[in-house]
Amino acid sequence: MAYDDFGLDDDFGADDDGTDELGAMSERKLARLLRLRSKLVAQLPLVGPARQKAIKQKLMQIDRILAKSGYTAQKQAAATALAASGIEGVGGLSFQAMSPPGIGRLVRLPFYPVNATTNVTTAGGTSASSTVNPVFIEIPGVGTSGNAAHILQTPQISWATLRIVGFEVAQKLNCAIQNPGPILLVQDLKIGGGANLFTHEDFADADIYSADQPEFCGLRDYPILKSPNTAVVTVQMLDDVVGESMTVSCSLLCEVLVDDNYGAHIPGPYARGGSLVRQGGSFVNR
Amino acid sequence: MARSANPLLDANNRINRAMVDGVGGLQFTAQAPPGIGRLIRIPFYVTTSVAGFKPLSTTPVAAGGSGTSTTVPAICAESPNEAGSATAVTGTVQLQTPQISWATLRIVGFEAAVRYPVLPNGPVAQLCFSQLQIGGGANLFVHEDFAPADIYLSGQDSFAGLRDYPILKSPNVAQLNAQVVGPVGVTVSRINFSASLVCEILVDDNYGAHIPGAYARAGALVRQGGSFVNR
Repeated sequence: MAYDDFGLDDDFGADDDGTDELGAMSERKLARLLRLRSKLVAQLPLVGPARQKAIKQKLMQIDRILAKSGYTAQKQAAATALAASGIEGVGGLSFQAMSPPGIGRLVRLPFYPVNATTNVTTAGGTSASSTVNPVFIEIPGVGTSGNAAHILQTPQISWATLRIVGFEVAQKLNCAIQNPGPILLVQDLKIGGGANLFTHEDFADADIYSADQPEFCGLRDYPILKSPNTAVVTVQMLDDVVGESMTVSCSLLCEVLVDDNYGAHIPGPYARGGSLVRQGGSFVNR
Repeated sequence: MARSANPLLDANNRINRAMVDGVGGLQFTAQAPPGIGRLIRIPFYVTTSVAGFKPLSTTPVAAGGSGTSTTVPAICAESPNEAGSATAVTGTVQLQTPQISWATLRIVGFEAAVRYPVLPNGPVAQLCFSQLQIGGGANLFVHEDFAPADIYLSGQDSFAGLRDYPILKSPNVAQLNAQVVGPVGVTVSRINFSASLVCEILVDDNYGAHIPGAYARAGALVRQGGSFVNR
C-alpha cells in the first residue's frame, strides 16, 4: 500500500534528505513530522487491519527519522521543563491575578438576627430582630462589657441546592484608640439540627473566620443546604471595658449546585466528589 | 541557509514565545476553601489563674484581674504594672485546648489573633508565647524560650512552621505558655487576644475519615532519625 492512500507523500515532505548542512533536522520538517505522526496515531483505531499495518509501518519510519535527527520525547520534555523553570526568557517570574471563582461558586448567604436580643441593634430597631437585613450592632448596656449570646439564622433558600464550604464574619469595631477593642465569639454552626460544623465545641474567636483573613478556615464537613433546612450559629460579643461596640455580619460560604433559574453548576474543585472522599462516620452517607 | 537546527532550542523558543509574547505568563487564581476537615482551628483556653490574664466576660476586667474559662478563648492581657508585677513581665499563664474525644487531629500550625490598641497610651506591651506542647511532649516551637506573638499572627500571608506535625488525640491536649512584656512601673494599654491550633481532621466520629491536605500526608512527613520519629 502506498502512503499516498493517506494523502501523504512518500518522503514526508522532507527537503532533500531532510537534514540541514549540520546534519540536524530543520524546524519546519520536525513540526511537519510531529503533526503527521499525531494524525496517524489518531487514525489508527479507525481504519481496517490492512491500513493499520501500513500506518504502523509509517509510524515506525517516522520514529526512526526523528531518532536519527536527535529528537526524542525525553529531550522534548527536558526542553519544556527547562523553559518552564524560567532559565530562559521569563527568568522564573510568573504573574498571577486574583480571579472571580466562577458561576455559582463561593457565594455568600447572610445570617440574620432572627431573635430579639437585649442591647443588640438590628435593622428592626434596638433589641429587636430582623429577617431582612443581616447587620447587627452589639452595644452593651450601661456598666457591662458584653452582651448575651444570641442566634443568627440563614433564610430558607427554596430556589437552590447549596453546598456549604465555609463561614465568614465581617466586623467593625468602635473602641477608644488606647484600647484593644471588643471580641466577637462564635460557636455551634449547625445545619438543620445536625452536628456542629465547627471543630470547637465552645466559643472561638470570630477572627478565625474573618473576611479579612488571607485564607479560609476549614469546617468539619461540607454538607448540603436545601430548603426547608437552614443554618444557625451562635455569637456573643465581649470586651474588657465598658462603652465600646461592634458592628457585625456573618455569612455562609456556599457553592450553588442546582439553581432553579440558572441551572446546575459545576462546583469548585474543593467541593467536587473527589475532594469529598471519606470513610466511616455516622453522617457519611448523607 | 540559516535555519533553526536544534529541536531543543526550538521547543524553548516556542514556550518562551507563548509565555512572553502571548499570554505573558499571567495566571489566574481564586482563593478557595481548604477542603473538608482541613485547616480547622482549635482554640486555647485559660486553665491557670494568673494575675493580668482574664477571659473576657460581660463584666469589665479590673486591674490585676485573673480567672479561668473552658468556654471563652478571648483573653484580656494587662501590662505588667497593671497586673501587679514590679518587673517588666507578667506572670506566665498556661493556655490549654480542650480534649477532643470525637476526632483524631494532626497539628499543622499555630495561630494567634492579637488586638493591640490603635494608639497606645505609652510604650506598647508585647504578648509572647513559649512551649507549645502536646501531651507533655517536646516543644513544637523552635524557640526554647519566649518569642513575640507576631510570629504567629493570624492574617499573615503564610503560616509559621513548627518542629513537628504531631497527632492530637484525646485524652491528650495541647498546652501553651503566654507572658506580656511591658514598661516597669507604668500601666499601659491592654491586649486582647486568642490563640488557636491549626489542625487537620484525620478521623471524625460523626463525619468519617478525611484526606488531609498535601502538607500533612505521609509523603510530606518523611523524616530520618530522632527520638520521636516513630510516634
